[in-house]
Amino acid sequence: MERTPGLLGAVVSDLEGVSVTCAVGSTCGEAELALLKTTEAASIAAELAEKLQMGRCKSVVTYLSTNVVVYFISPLLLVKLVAESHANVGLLLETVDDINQITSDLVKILLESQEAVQSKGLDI
Amino acid sequence: METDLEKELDQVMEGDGVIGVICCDADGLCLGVRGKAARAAAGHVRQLISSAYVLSSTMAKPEDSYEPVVRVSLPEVNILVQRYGPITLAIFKSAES
Repeated sequence: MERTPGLLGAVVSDLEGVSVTCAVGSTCGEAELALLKTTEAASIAAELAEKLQMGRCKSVVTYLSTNVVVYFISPLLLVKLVAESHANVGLLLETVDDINQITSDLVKILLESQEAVQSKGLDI
Repeated sequence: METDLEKELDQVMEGDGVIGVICCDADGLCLGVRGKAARAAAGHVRQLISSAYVLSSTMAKPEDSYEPVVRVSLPEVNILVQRYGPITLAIFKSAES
């Protein structure tokens, strides 16, 4: 958050939009907080994008009038970054490696719990 | 649509000692890249010139109109960065040239 200029907040959630963790900068306003909290259709947008049959959709960038929202979409998690409209989107997109590193433990736990559930024959 | 840009980047690569070039837009997104320059550098290049612009504007007089050039000197390569309106260009040149 501190080293990326213009970044106002970030949230890690599952693909249904249920928030796992959230980080908010000191300059994050009410509108940006609302953006962070709302359940998004990013995973639906990613599914639609994948229908173009050009591979898996890894990220979506949404340009709004006052903000830029960057979504990183993995098979288990959705990471949303909300930034000011003039933020450096290229830099935001470059944070994907750091974000993957940070969320790797969480993904491992989620995979393990999924396998445990499947091995018991339960259907989620 | 990008043919002219591609041609210009190829021309820049023919320059003496040039080993890479990257062009990015106002959002730090890569428009074109050649040689040793990495696509991932686009955001950083844009950030570099934006910071230089802010720095230089504190020293410039209001009537001055210029764009700063940033030079990053490394042991084997020099990187020259300049902004042209919404476009930022970074040229990677061999330090020997």
